Amino acid sequence: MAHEHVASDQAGGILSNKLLWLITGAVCFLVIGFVLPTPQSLIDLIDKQQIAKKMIDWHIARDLPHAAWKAKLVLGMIPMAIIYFATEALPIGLVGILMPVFAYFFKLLPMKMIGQTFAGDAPLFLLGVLAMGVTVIGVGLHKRLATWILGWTSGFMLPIVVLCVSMSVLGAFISAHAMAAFMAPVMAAVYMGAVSSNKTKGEIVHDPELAKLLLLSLCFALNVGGVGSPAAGGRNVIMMGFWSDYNVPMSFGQWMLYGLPLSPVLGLAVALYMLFIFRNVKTKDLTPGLQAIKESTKEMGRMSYQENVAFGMMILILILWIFGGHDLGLGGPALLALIIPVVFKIADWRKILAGISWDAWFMYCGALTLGALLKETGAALWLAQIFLNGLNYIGFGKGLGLWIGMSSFSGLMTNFMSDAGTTALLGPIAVPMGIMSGVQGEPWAIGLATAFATSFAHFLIVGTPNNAIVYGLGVYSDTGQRMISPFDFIKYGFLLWIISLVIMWILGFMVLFQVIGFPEGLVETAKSVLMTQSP
Amino acid sequence: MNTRILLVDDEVEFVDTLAERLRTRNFHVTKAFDGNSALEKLQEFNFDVIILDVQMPGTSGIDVLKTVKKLKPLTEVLMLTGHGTVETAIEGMRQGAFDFLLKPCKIENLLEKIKNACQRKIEQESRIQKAMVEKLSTSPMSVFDSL
Repeated sequence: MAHEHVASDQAGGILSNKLLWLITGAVCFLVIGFVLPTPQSLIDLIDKQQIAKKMIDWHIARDLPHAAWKAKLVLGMIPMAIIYFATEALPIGLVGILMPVFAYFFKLLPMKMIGQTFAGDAPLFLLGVLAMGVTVIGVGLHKRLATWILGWTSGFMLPIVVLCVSMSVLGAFISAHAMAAFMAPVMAAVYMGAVSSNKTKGEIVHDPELAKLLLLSLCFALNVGGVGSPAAGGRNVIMMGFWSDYNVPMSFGQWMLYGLPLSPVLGLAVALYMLFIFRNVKTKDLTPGLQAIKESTKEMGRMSYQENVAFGMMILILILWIFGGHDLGLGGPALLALIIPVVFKIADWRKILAGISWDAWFMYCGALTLGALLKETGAALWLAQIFLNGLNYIGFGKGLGLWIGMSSFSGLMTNFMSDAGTTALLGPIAVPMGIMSGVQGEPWAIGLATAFATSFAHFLIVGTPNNAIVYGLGVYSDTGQRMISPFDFIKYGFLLWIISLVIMWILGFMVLFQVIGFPEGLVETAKSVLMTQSP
Repeated sequence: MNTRILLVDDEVEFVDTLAERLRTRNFHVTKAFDGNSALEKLQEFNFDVIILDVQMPGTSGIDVLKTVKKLKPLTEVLMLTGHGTVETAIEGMRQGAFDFLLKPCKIENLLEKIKNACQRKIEQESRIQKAMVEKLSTSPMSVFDSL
């Protein structure tokens, strides 16, 4: 049951002062874009790489200094975007819109290219994924899946392991936020059912450690599921968009080859870690709480027509993504999620429209625009060279060292700002870094390293909506007190963040990358695009 | 989970009898014999429904109702009233009570009203949760609003 309380305006402190951050972001942009001198190295780079010539041919720059200034403007957008994504000084959808607005008004790209970032394969894929989420959630299919999965378990360790592994795999395909919203009250109910058997004089004796174990296991498992497939989140699609820009697109199925094996392993790691950390929990039998889930499953009865169609639609779209090939792309099958529910009358068209998070869609499209700006102006290449020089100096300039370095940075950043924002900002820089390192498998390898790590937003409550939702919905139903505190994420999430990264490094980079390998000629193809920078 | 009821009335025997009858029907019942102790229990616990006598010495039923609606606005309140205090019960409805019953009331009528009150509470909580999830999905920072 919801906790009833009065909202506090001051709880977020300085972070809630949106005007302050709005101004700070704007000042950063203005100072970098209009006050600081243009670095000579940037001018030399865009001259040598013919980027300035391209911009002049596009009629968006008059001459070399003007083109370099445009690149500097884009560099100024980076800290502004970071601040706005991290503090939500503007709604995230509006931050996304800001990117093409800047592109238009400062003539940072040709007009037709700006529109393409909102209408290409990636934005349509994202639209379809969001619509699919609306239908699946609307017919309650996610509830049936979750109760199916947990309803047969009993005891203590088994339900936790099944919860974590199943949520990490489901989170790779179904909206993790929706799963968090549904499962958090389910876990709270499992908790209450388990501790109700400990009643003393009619009142429940609470076991706060058990509550934390159940809720944090849920949200950490959903987080790590994000590596499994492009459908897990816009951040993965954003990275796929960047690869396409360098003529080395990755298919849905190919991503699953690298990512899906990681999901259950990371889920299992979450389970084992949480069971170890909370090994001294008082209540060691969840069976009474799970009984309620069993009864819910029975009450659901057989799958309804709507659920069957929604399930069939999901499977069809998944098959088309995996086997449809480059002709269909990702957007083609995804758009079926807008048509099938209406044609087969399992969802109302207006409800689908109303249920799509346009905030999220605008943010993703804006992220793609920012990526295009970084690439086409040469700003990303300049930053990539600086970072690569620095990493080379410490021996992390290529291969495993580069992937570890980049994933660590991306994994850290994602705890402070949205995963899509992290990928949008780091992707355009990471991809050229990988290409310039010349290692076979680039830039797929560094792109995967960067994107995978954005699924490890464990240690800050604002790192991902999953954390915030689980925190918000996790309350003791009898007292209304919260089951977890923001500090619990730091306390239990930080070490798990490190563990998640290490597992990715070992299993992902050292095993999967080697065993699965990469197609021949990737880095050469990408390099040819990087060197010619042909429009 | 069992429905949680707070039963507030200064007639001890009435409260004990009604509590027992509700407990046999799997309700979780907490008793309070005056307004102040009812509000103390409300601070400590959440209840789904409060069955509240209108006429009590000390803090009146209406005053308790007003405080309930400030502290826990989603908790539904059923006013219990004798024939002479129907107007007070109607005033209670204006102040946000879900319904009222005349004493003595048939248990079936009471159970029906408890069920309807719970249903409304669940629907309201569901709407609030949905709105919260929608907001948190796009704005995790808004979690600080609820800290």
